[in-house]
Amino acid sequence: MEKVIESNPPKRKRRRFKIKGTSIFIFVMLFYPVAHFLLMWFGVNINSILLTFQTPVKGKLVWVEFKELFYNYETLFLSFKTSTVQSMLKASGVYFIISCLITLPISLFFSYFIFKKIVGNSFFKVIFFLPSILPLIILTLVFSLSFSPNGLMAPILQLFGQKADLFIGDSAKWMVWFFCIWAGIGYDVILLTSGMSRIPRDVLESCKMDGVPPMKEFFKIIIPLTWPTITTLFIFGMMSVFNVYLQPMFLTSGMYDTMTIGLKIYQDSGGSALNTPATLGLFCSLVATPIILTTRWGLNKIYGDVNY
Amino acid sequence: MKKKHLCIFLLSASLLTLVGCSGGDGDSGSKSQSVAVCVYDGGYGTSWIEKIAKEYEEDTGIKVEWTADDSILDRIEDQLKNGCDYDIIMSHDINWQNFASQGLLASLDDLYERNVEGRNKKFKDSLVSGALEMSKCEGEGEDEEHFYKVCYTQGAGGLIYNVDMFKEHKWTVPTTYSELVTLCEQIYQEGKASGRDEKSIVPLAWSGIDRQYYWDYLVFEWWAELAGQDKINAFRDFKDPSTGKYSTGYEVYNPSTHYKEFIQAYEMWYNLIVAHPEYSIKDAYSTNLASAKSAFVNGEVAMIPYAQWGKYELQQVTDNNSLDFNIAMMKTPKANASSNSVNYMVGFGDSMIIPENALNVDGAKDFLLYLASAKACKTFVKESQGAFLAFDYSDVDLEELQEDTYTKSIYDKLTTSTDFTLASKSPLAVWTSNSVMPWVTNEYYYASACKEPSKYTSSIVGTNIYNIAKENWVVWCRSANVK
Repeated sequence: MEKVIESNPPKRKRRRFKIKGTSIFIFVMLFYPVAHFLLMWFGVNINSILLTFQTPVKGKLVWVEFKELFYNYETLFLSFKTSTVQSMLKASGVYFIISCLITLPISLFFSYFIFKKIVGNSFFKVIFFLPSILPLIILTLVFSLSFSPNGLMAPILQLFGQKADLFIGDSAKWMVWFFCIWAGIGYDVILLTSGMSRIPRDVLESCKMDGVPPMKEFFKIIIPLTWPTITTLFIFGMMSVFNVYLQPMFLTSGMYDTMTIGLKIYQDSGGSALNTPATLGLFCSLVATPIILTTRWGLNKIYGDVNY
Repeated sequence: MKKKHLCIFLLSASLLTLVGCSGGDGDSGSKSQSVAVCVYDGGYGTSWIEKIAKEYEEDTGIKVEWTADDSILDRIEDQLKNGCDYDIIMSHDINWQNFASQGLLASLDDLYERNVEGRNKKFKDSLVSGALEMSKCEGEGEDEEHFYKVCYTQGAGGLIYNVDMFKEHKWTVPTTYSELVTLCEQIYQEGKASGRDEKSIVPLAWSGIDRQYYWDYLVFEWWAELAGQDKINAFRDFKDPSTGKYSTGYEVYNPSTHYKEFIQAYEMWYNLIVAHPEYSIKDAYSTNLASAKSAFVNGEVAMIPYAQWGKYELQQVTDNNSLDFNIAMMKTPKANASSNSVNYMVGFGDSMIIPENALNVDGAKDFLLYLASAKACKTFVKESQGAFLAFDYSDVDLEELQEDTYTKSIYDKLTTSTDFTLASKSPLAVWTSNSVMPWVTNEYYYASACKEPSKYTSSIVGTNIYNIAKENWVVWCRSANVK
């Protein structure tokens, strides 16, 4: 007879679930950004998207009927036919030219000027940086007061036979654009000079020894090596078409053809019909996202990855 | 062991933090003994709420914790939805109908039925005419209208003038438009005759940069006088007066029919101001408000367009917060000598609301009821330097305050003119921001007209307003969901 040997299986050690310090650390570090994302991006945007399918009924926003699901979008497309909205779209589009095609090239030039420590660079540093460190409300106030009848610029304008009334009428939009260039250069210059300052000295010294003229150095060395910063600023500039709202709000209250998409959304958001700005905002996002992503992809292709 | 202690400590600290954040019931006992009020920090100043709060505490033992905040409108929706720091909010531009429809405001029906102490009348009877209708709407899930706000102020606007200067130069306060034109010419000619220099008096100061809409206070009154109350009420409905339909409601802006008088009123302004730039301070249309106020305060001009908060704001320009001359607001010189005076209720759309989630709703209602008392009404006028709450002042003793020429002039304007308002409950006005209003799309022409007179004549402006309204109307109707 076979002897059955009974043996107790070895006791399995119960593993105590222990939260390690690392896990707590990771949890704590992730909690805020994840919560922020869920609340401030997902929460806010979902709410905005849902608003585009609501319409006012008896003083309250309610869901649109299924047969009129795109009621707000139809209204938006109808508004595109009006001269008021067309003027707003044009005024907003101008900020692409201002940010990407005027401010950025000027900033590149002055950044190189400061980077090369050409005579007077410290003075220009202050001139350019000052607008970037002052709050926009103060900056716009200073700017508009300078061009008022008793302002700093009034006598200069008078020399050219111009009255200090540039913030009224057709000239108002030019003043807002001029302000955006003036104030925008400082921001771009800060980022571009820090990008340039990271270029290895030996590359530049090598250029110097090879006798590369400044213009060639600028276009062949500096621009390619600061391309990631330029790309970022270009993308920001494109986004300004939809983002700019404070400058026209403070300077002209959106009058005199200075209304922008951003300001319209901001103003309408203060009212009751939140479905209207939500629809405009979502439409702009849908249009802008592929354009901006394609542009970014294209710009990144020009010089490829820049590593040093 | 140490870890255990650390964990207990951290847990306790977290719990304490959470309790602190909740600001919850533990505090409500002391809260019920006080009322938290937020007032918009604007042209009425803060001394009125400070004084009334003090008087209220003396009379009832209940403390009023007040805050003056000019950013309340940016935060109000968040406050109403996510816990409100205040039991009462007083400001202009509160979207109260929208908030009420979302159930964010406390119903005030019971307040309107309560008796006002010392006035022998109910709260609803102590309001200025028209205020009741402007304070009702349908709340969340309701089929009939209820009270969700109390009108804040009744306003007056027009030309403020330097009383002492008028006396000194023996100028007569104009009662008609033609007298106003004559007076401006007289002031200008007197200045010219005395050898025009920096000390010469100019008829008017105004700001085209910051406050061109102050001219509305005259233009709207001329419009109402020429058009009559019925036409103004029809305009406020934003329905086609001929068909009663929203779909062609842009016809209220038709310059050859329903909007004719508005354009006439604009033309009167144009003929006075644009055709005579010499009547205004130099480049007034591109001047900021501070410069315009300084010119008036320094005695360089005789008149300035303003509203009831004018005295308070003009005093702010001086070193000692006091004017060294008397001022008054004239009744807007009438378009026709034979017609009755009208008063545009500036700021009549301003509101006092109680959030549904306020900690002390009953206390807030008690305080609003107190504001209707003769004592509080009087204190408001005195401390705000001539502004009036939207209550009936007929049985409020203001004799002592009427020694002040400015307060007296405002009182006279309010009590001897026919009031009208442009505040509208039409869905088009409620659901389209800055679009459906007398100056469509909120585009003003006063400053532009002064800069380029030929581009902004009355006929061009009239056509322009009509075309903009007509072009956008279908979009606005769809936005407001009216057919």
